[in-house]
Amino acid sequence: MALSCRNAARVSLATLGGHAAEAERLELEAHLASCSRCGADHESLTWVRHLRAYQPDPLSPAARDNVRRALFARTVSPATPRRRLAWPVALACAGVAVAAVAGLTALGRQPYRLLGGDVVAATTNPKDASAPVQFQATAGGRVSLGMAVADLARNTELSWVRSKQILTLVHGTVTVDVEHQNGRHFEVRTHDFTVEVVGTRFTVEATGVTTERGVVRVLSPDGQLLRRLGAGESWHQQVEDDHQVSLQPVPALAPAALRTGPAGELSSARAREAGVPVTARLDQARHALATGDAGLARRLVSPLFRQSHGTAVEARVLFAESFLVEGRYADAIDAYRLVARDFPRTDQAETSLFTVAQLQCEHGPGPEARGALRSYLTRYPHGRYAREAGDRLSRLSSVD
Amino acid sequence: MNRVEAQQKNVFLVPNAEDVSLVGGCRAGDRSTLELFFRTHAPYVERVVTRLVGPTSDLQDLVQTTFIEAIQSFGRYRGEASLKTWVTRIAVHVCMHHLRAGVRRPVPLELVPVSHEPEDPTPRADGTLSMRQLARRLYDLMDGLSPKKRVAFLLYVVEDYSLEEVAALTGASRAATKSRIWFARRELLAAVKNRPDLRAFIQSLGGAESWR
Repeated sequence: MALSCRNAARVSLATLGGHAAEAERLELEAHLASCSRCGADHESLTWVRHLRAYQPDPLSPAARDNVRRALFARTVSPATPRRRLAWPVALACAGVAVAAVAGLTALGRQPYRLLGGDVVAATTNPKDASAPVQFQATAGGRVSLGMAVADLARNTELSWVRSKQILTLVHGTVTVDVEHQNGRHFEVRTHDFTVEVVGTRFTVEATGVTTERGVVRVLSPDGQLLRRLGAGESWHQQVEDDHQVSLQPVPALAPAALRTGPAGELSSARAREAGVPVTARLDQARHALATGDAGLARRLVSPLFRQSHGTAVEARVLFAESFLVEGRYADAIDAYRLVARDFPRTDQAETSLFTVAQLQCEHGPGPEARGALRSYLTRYPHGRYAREAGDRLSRLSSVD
Repeated sequence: MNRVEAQQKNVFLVPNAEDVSLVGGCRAGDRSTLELFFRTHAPYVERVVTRLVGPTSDLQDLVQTTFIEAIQSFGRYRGEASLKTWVTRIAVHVCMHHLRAGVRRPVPLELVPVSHEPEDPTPRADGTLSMRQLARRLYDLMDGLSPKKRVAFLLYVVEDYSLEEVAALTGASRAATKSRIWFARRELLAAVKNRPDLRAFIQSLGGAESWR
């Protein structure tokens, strides 16, 4: 009896998986010969046989031994069979758990905690999350604000609205360490600009921002992106230049630049990109990143990968950062990894490796994050970010 | 695999005498027994993990997580399946968790190249792909599937497990498993149809004679 198309699809799957009997296979072949649609569908899945033939590389003996040692280094204690809990004990445990959750929730709702210094706090209604809390420090101090810790410099005044996670700098200087939490953002506002972060450490004063790690966006009061700052970069409103990032106007292009490239093949914009000197190219790429044009930045820096060592590493870092601008974290991780691999003796290698670990912690699953942190610590046991990497690793391990 | 082999495979679903003695030692926390358990099952777990996740730099972590889960769960082993089946089930759940976490990137850019794993070669002179590159592209096809469908499809079609075995390994009913495999097939067909580049790539792999 001839197979129906539906049964043919079922037998096709069974055949691919080696589950079909000989008679079924013959019926299938007969059906496929007469039904072009089923035949085409079946052809479309024949790649499965290549997967079946693929023999994955096993772990090397050394890697397997690493796993074994790590496994037993954790002093794993095998669990004993579960015992039935007596009702009163179970109820008592449940009660304790409920109380603990309630306590932790209450703690989480606490708007702030003064951690040191001479900080004075004042608010109109401590229970209202939308009521601003004023902090003043004469000699300086530290405040915990839920997902962030703020270090107030001398003579600093802040205003904090917990419901919106917005910290406003009235005057002075504040350094903020923000812990990443999925789906939550954190802002620091001044009179003239806003700093928006996901998870990082940075310092804000009335005229500018310095990022110690992570990435922040500097926005104008009307929400326009002014700058995007990576680790070690700074931005100042009035001076608008610093030792790492130049915001000087992009140099005018030499007329020769317009003549490079095959005439008529490149668009005028591409042609302009083609003949720009190296330093101007890097500046243009930074400028493009600052304005959010990651594609242009990549086009500008790609030809520089084979330039001298210093230029190439700078270009590759900008290339990686362009993916960050677009939120393409997986690509950014790969690009930063390449920087660390190809320029192992540079400072950027260490920063890149730590950035990979940070991105994995913030956007990747636990095993990847742990692996990245371990890679960093293995390579830079006494590095600039070793302490933080160690902290993150122990936090991840304790969560597991 | 023919039906006779499949029936023989089912034999492994029942714990044997070796399993019983291993479980006793592992429950007691005997270090040498635990090591024996690891040495016996590590190669198979590695294979299952790579089959389900694809070529990955996380293999070491995933294998480690599987064994940590297993060693900590010996108290809950009821002896209803062989140790191999039991540890495979744990590996399947670890892989599903990993895939569900969303970031699965076949990263060939290890920072410290492992000696056994050569650098990914460029396409060979004759234009064909190495087995490793081929596998990576084929696993790219799977990335559009949900972890449940992907795992069910791969276990059934690539790893030769029967429907019942796939259901047992994934903790789903037979009907749900069948449905997952069916929908995985449909989605893969749609993916191939909607992407001419993939279609061309698959056509370039050759005809279907060898599977018949």
